[in-house]
Amino acid sequence: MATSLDKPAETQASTSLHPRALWDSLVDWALHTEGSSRSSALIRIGLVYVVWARWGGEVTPFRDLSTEGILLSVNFWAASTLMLLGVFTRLSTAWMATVALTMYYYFGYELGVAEWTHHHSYLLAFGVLLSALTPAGKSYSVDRWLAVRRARQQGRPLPAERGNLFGLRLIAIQLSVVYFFSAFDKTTLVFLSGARLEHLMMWYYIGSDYAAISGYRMLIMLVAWATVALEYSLAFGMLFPQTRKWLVIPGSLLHAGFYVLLPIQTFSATVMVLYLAYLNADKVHAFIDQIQGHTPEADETVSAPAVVE
Amino acid sequence: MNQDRLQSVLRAILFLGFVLFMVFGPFYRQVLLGESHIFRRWMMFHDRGVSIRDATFYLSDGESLVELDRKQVLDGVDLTAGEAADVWRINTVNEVRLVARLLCDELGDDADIRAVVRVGTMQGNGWQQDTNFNSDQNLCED
Repeated sequence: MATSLDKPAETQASTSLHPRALWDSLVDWALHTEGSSRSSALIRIGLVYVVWARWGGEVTPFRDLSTEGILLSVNFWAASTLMLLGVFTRLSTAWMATVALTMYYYFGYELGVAEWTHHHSYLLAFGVLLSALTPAGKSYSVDRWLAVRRARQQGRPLPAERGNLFGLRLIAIQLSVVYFFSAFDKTTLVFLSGARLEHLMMWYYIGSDYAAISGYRMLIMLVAWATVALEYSLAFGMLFPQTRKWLVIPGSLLHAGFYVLLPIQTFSATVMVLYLAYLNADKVHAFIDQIQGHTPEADETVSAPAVVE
Repeated sequence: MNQDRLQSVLRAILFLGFVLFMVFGPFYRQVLLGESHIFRRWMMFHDRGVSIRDATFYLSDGESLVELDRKQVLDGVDLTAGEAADVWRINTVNEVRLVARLLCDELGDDADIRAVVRVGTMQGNGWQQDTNFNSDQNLCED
């Protein structure tokens, strides 16, 4: 079903501004959109690698031989491996989300593993949870492989790589909420004066010497204002195709900058993976076909006689 | 209720529930200033670096002040790792006094070292004068 937020810019303008029509359009976008499952699958796979990069070294079995530690390790590796491979995908992703949220809330706050209570841990765990609501198993998964094999054996049409995208909408909203409240936190005199960035520059790079460079204060104030303006823009603009096209690259550069300049752990990597939720799922699908040299007609010709074993 | 209808209703409930949780959480923490581990606030690096000192040390001859480059003065001195870190980045009153003491030791006990220090804060324009130090106080006499 077509949705107004995902409609191309040229058709967006023709959408009625009547409140009822806008509401229907919003409900369609949120709840009834069907689209390609490839971006959901890529998010699923990407998140597992970020999960392993962030926590893998800390949940190897020898790290904690208590009952809780061993239970965590077994569940972590089993759930994340099944999630990566796409075996009973929705279930295994929900299982991994349970593990990740247990790490955040129970191990982090109850048992005092402070590192697991940081914002990058929460976004990662919550991203996995929301990923369980996407059709992530319908592409690039063992589930998909088995479904295709069954269809071929039974002479049925191949199952479509499609599903309801409300999980992707939730991921997009989560990212926008992060941007909005992060910008809100910075909308203060102390940040907009540039002082907070000066503190961070001195803390990480310069030490206790104020940079004696002409125009430094003005430059750092401009960076502060630009950061806040960009975060507010990303919060709202990434949800609309007309503005998204102007924001994807600045947003990516912002996170690349954070990754390189600040000790943010896996936060930027998680956001970059979740950015796929903002993009039109069918366009991502078509782009993947395009870069692999596939066309729908050619795929039919190639895939019809082949049996995937 | 048919299965499609049931799925739609479940989706709507889940969607609304998640959106409320995602939006209300930071609103509760950051706008209402509530305390809860259940809800996440999005205040990355909110107060990191606060308390950093912008410190300038001077050598006084009794009449005028000459700015000192503390890193250069202490370059050849055998410092512990902790002292070296404090010379580079000063975060507390005691660290200012430590650096001053190192400078006094290096320049001789009769040296007259003064310090003018600003401290990073979350108030106002982000900097306040550190009133523990001023250009009239010889830190080598402490």
